Amino acid sequence: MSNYGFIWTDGTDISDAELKNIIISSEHPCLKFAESGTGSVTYTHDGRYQDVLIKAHNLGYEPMFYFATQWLDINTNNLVTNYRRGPFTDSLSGRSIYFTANAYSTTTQLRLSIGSFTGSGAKSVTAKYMYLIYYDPDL
Amino acid sequence: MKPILLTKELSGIWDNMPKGLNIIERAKLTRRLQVNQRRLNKLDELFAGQPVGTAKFLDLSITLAKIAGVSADKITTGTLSVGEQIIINDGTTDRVLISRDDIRISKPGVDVKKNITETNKKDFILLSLTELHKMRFAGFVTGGSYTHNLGKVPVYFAWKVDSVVTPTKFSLLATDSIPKATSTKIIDLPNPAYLIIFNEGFNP
Repeated sequence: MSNYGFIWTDGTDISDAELKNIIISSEHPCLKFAESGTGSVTYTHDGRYQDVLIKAHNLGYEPMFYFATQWLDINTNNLVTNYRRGPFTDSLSGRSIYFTANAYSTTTQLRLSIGSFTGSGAKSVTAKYMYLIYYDPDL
Repeated sequence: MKPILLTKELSGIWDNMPKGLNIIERAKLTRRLQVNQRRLNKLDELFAGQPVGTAKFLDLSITLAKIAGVSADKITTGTLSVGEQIIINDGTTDRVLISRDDIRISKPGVDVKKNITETNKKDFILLSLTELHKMRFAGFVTGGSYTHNLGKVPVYFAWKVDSVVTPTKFSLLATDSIPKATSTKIIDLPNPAYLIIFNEGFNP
């Protein structure tokens, strides 16, 4: 009963195709976009994580998501890395500055916990991010 | 006396009629045969694909038909009009719906005809009302970068692999080279790497 409906392939006999050669199968859900967008977040090196709202949703469950952000040097405001998929923690050479970006979903929001530590200056920097929320739950 | 308007198909009938029939009976029988012959001729025309009245086998229209079995590969063309739907049932539940402006496949046990809400879209395998990822590239990459030229920062996933021919391990540790994306390239890939890039992305 479960394998019913569309099973499309490209150049492969459907009757004995492996799943990797099937384009759409009624047995396996496709990732469906609910929300997508971009934004920016400003953070300092005050030694605390900032927990910020990325996007509110009304799905009522924790959805799967994709999140990527820039990382900027808290002292120089220079771009350290371009868009990098989160969550991640990294440090500059010599471990003088740590950076952590951890996105997570709740039943109503996509949020970001972000922080930079051990910087010597008192600057704040603004990093751009991009996100994508799926309808499919984070099982 | 022999009728003079016998068709080709009926020629000879008159002479072969039972001897006991009188002329009037033979004339009536001949007219009946002529009527039936005309009907047979129309059926022959119909089978040959010629129009008979408004009916034509090559462009047959049936208002309502119940077909016990049909081979799907004989269905080659057709357009669904407003309000028309094709529903496929898996034996228990209606799971596939095709209409003029919608294609849906529901998960097992979910009625594909249910009203769509924000919170039940997760119950569908496929919804043409929502956007899906389209794969742009999936494969092994050596050299630490891949040029995609999408003009936007794409959604991507990458792993370090131990071989591009017979890989046994896909991984990405904090100590590995961590990939980053620009609007034209994926850079700082582990070498070698397995990379998936979708067409969807952002212009942040």
